[in-house]
Amino acid sequence: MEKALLISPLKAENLKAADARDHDTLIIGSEFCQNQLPVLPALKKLARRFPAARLALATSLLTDKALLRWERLLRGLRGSGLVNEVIVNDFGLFPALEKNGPFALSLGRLLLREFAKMDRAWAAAFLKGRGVRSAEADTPELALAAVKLGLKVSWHRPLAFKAVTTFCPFEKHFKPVCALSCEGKLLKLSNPHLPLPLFLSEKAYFSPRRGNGPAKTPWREVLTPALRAKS
Amino acid sequence: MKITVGVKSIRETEYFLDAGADEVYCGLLGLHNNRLPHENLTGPADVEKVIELARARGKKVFLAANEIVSEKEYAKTLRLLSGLREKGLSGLIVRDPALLAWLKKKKFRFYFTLSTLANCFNSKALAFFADLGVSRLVLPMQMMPENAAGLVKNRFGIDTEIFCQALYYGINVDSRCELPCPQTSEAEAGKFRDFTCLLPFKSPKGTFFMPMPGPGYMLNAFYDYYKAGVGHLKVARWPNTLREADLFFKARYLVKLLEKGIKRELFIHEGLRLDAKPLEYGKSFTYKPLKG
Repeated sequence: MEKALLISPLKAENLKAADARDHDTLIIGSEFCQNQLPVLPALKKLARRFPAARLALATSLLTDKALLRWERLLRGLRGSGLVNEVIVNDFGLFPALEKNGPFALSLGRLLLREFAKMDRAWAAAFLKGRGVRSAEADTPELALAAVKLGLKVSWHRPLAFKAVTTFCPFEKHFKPVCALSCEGKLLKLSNPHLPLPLFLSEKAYFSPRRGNGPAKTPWREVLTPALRAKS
Repeated sequence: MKITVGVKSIRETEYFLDAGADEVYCGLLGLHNNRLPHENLTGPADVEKVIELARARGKKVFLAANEIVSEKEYAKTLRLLSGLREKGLSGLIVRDPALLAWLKKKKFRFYFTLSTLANCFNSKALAFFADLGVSRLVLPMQMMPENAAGLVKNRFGIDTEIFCQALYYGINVDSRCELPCPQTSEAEAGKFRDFTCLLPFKSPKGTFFMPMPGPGYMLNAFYDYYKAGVGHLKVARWPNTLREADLFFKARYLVKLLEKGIKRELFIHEGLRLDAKPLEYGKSFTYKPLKG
């Protein structure tokens, strides 16, 4: 099974060798905040520092302004071979990926939740047509849905996604550029009506997972260290 | 700006149409949509009655299928839509691209409104849905005009629809929220009494509420959306009819102010005078329909 780290661009810039050790892939970005966008020079530097690791990008739901910034980055990556894979959570990103690839594509956790319930024949054909070969999952149900769509499972730990907002809980705005005030912050939230606590990171709320992992050994295991610190 | 109101019964249809709704939409039991079964009409005959009431007033009716629809239901859905289109149904509210693709393949031409639940946040995503035949887009509730220019002034001629966010707002992206709420389950045992997103949380930094923009910001957003040319305002179906009516009249009042050309500052001032806490709607989920 492959191992990957999912880290923010800022964390990637300061990534320690010990933290990256034993990980085949470094995934930079976020599935839940469009502002976690790396810059090309930083990716090049990361590739030089960790030549054995493959680089991947994680993307989220995107507004036009954010999409423009991601498109610019993808254009810069065209033909470089610097980034192998992109995790997609927005239909609007597919044209830029097609234009600037080839990238190995993985269906993100937000978009997989949509595809999991769709007409399987249409969904599988759509994904195959765009070169999507894997999917990110954090519940056994999603992992099973990915398998049924013919996708390899990339399994996330330590927490499972619960909800996402577009209004930054840390900076209180909708802007596509920010001061990254969320960096390194994981806020534990509890209420007696909820059996498990919630954890706020970036623009998303997570919860500890109940029960088992995926039924079959996944293709890859992704660790998000930012969700591990205090959970 | 036309006002579209969600209805749960014939009585509500008459009530809202006579009160100034330009369009109504409804759900039908058996056609998968985003509301619980008891918030839907029970059969096509009810929808036909709603259509009659609207046509008599020169107004339109839409049907909601704003969830992912099982492929096993496609043929039945097409038959239902074909029949209701003949009776005067104006369009369908959808979320599922697979369903849209199938209807396109069947050459079924209709006025399709892309639900807010489809999370169309950018112009390239809109291009994808435009190719599937969408005629109107309901902007995501968590999207603001500062990020929506390309969607409102789109090159596909697609109409746009918004919520009055100052009066009705969901903190988290609706179709991706897995927190328990009163909509989670129809069964009493599984029902969560409140909206998790509204609860006070204990955190190491004290009491925490999931942040949302203030009413002044949201009134400005409504003003900007109106000025940008958004053509439709949605008042969503809501279990508590009195609450929905309250929301409708407040939204209608705000639209009338805008149509009179009110200046921004005065609009915000007037809007803030309304009891306009968006979350009040979430806190009153008790099912209280009008009888009849």
